[in-house]
Amino acid sequence: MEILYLLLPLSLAIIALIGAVLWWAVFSGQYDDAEQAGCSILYDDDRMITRSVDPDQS
Amino acid sequence: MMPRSSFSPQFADVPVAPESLATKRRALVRLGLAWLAMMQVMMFALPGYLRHEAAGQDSLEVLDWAILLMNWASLTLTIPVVLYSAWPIWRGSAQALSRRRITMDIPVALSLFVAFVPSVIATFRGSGEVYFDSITMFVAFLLTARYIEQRARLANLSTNDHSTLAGFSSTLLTQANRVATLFVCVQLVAAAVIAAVWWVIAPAQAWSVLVPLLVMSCPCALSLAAPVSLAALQLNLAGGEPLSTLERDALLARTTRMTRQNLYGALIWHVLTMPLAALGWVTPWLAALSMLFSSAAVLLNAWRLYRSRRMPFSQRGRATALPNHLQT
Repeated sequence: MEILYLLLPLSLAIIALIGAVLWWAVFSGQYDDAEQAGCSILYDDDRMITRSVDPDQS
Repeated sequence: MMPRSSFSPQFADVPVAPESLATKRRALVRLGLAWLAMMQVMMFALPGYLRHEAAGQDSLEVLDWAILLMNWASLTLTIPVVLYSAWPIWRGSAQALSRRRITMDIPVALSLFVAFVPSVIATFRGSGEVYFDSITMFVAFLLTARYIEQRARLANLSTNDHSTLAGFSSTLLTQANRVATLFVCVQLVAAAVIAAVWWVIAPAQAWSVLVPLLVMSCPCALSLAAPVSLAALQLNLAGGEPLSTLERDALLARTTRMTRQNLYGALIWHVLTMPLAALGWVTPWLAALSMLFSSAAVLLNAWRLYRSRRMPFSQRGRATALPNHLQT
């Protein structure tokens, strides 16, 4: 049971780390618009790729 | 229609002011940290719940030692929740006090205080019950309800005629506040009287009766009653089909009814459990469980209002097929 002396501080440290990562993620704007990332594929601009494959068609 | 995240009930074409963006981020961090701490503190609280089942002196000693360690870990996690996550509650109650107005923040802050301080004392003394799991859970639930309600309200500001809605919300919140505050004051006075009676009859028992009484006077479910109903209403309006005036009025009436159900259901629950606590039959962990039960019931009730937004496909098709002049 003495292992608790190691495990409890370890778990607290991990929680602190998770909290810090959450803090960073929120304040760097990752949660500002939860829809954006899912929709980004729809707004992708494909013209660049088409142009590079077939320059005559553009 | 695409499923939407509850964390962003705003729509793409709604511009977000930088001011409100910072507020939103701060609220989200407070909320996230409260949930993170809540789940860990719940796990740390497990040995405390097991203690009532323990048999044998030697296993009890080991368990008590583990509980003491867990209490310190819980305290470490609860301090940021009480000081940072619950900061809007402290600030709100300080503002209300300085304006000599009673809002829901005051009883919430009071109950947080009376649950937190004895827990800290018990942790330092190394004996007695702690309520860190109740505190973190309460803060996490309350912040979640308020967050969703505020986000959904901001989203609706630009899409619906917000003056009726804002008026409706503030009326409902004021009514709920008045009922809950009155009830909490009555409960606090009753707790003091009951503890005084116990002090005369059996002084040793007075403290162990007073603390569950104070925990149970926590307006957890009461303070959730109006915000979760309003959050469900706002999400309903924001995410569902456009409603006719008639349907909207029906929805508002339903929200009022649901808030009353929540409020008076929680009141009845408090009234029923109070005599048991007064007799000293309710242990603190049972009081905390009882508060969890009533809060969860309120949340589930409001969830029904939110669910009603998802109409069957046949009906949805018919509603959109109606010409515009028939819908309004």
